[in-house]
Amino acid sequence: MKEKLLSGLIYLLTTGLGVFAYIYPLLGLSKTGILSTNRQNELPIMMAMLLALCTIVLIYEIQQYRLNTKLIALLGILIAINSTLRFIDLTLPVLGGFSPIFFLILITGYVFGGRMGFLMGSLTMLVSALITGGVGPWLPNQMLTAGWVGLSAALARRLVILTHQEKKAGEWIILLIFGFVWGYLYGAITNLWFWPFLSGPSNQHFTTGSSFIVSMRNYGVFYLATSLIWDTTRAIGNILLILFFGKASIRVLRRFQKRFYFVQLGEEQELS
Amino acid sequence: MKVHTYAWLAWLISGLVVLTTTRNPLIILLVDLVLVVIQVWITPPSKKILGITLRFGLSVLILSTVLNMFISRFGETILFSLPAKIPLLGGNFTLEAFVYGLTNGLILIGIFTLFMILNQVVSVHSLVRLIPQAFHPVAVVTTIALTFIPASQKQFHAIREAQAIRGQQLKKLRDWLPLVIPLLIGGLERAMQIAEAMTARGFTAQSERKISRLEKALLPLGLIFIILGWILELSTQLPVSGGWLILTGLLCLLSLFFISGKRVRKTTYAQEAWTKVSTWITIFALVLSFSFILPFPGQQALLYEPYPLVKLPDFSILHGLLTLTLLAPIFFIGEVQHDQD
Repeated sequence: MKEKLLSGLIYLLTTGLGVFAYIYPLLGLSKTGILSTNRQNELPIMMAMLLALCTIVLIYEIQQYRLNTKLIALLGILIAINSTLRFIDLTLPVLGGFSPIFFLILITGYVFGGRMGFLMGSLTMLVSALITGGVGPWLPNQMLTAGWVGLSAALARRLVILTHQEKKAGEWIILLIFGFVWGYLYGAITNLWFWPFLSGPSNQHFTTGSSFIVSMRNYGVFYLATSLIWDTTRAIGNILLILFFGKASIRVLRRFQKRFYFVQLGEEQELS
Repeated sequence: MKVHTYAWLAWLISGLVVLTTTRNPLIILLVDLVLVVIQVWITPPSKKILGITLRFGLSVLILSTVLNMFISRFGETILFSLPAKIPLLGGNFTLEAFVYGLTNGLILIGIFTLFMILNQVVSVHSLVRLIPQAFHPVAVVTTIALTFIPASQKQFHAIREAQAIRGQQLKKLRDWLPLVIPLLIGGLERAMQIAEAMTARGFTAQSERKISRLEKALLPLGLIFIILGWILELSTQLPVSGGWLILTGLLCLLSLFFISGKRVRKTTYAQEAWTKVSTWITIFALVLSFSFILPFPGQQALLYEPYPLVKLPDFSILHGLLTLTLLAPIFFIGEVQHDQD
């Protein structure tokens, strides 16, 4: 019980810190300290460091209690498959923001739980960055957000159980909604990393010290102008992938989930 | 001569320090030129990297400059105007916004090129080796994934060929199902085999030792310190700096990673050698970093702001010369042996 509470506290603090790292430039804080004009260049670096910290702490916490040999092997292989799929969106940029990787991240989190989903999301980004030469200051941001995609899939599972929709149409509707929303949310969150960096002194862009509502309005205009169409292709892509491959993939993962039970009774809880 | 991964990291950090501490376009342009020279030097001539880099750089510069000119309408030097009745586009387009956008573009090119070079000169396995001992399960996951990517690609092609022989055509998205599901099943079967092989060879993901109370407390404690320090840093009411609290939090986390890393025995198959060249590259990187952080003569020239009226940026010869130390790898390593394509 104590360990669960401690673990819950760590998730709460880390997620809170991550959310705060993304939105603090929008909070209308005064122009002193880190937000002063002459320190504005530090903002993206500080944000990258905070996001890296959140990702590292969450990965450490999950691996500390949750990873056994079978899960390590399973994750390694699923990440290898997902990184192979990432070549599709790298070689076909005409498809806009469409990327097949979110589908596997979502269903892994849905079947194996939020912690596995988080690791699946963040490590897929890490491994695919390593093989495509995509290591850079943008990586912690991508890792944390993709991790959140997998982590949030556990909520979809909870929702399905609460509404007694298992193996019914409602299960697919909930998953489709999650896939669609994350299509936009992933773009909206990852934009926040560089948006303050692009800023010039303008009323349509990030301005240090402006109120939360003004910043949100400015960000909304920026998002509509630069990312909406791009992210729509991702959202539609997620829907299509869940629609065509979701049922069969989840059935396969559930079958293997049962096979992974074979060693100790104690591990049952880890996989559920 | 080989350069150690840590020396390349020091070189990368010094480049990042320069690019984030100055907004002087002349210094940033110099950094970009130096980086392009290094990139051409490390890439085999057959890859025609110069053309690719120039095309990429030009597209970033145009995008960043045009975007900033459309978004930012401040500045006193008006280049041209569009009628105010055109929504979003109407208004003045200024030289100051042009210069600001151009500087942003140059910084982005610099950061991107720095990491491109790192990805080229440091092998994937050296990068994986940088994962600290405390994260060894994650390092194992990463290694398995990296090892099995070529196998997954091979399996994907094999399934595709097998399905093509059966007359399967990939016309619609639904047609991909007979490819994706066997790939997934094959992968999961392989995961079972790996898990069994790892267990048979005595691999355990978690050590037998119980986690001490101190270790359990360090993680939440470190996070609380960092959050409190961050709040203090942003607060205007209190005259206290949160920097020390953030540092304490970071120290808590580092000690936790150090303690839990100690539980894992690390063996290295082939130790990476630290050469004299690595020492020199690290020294130059440290000198460059400190010269841009500490108040050296000429530092005023680094703070350039085109708004409200653009003027020619000053140039600090000292900082310019120090920036050239980024070329150190070329001078110390000499000729690069490119693999035969």
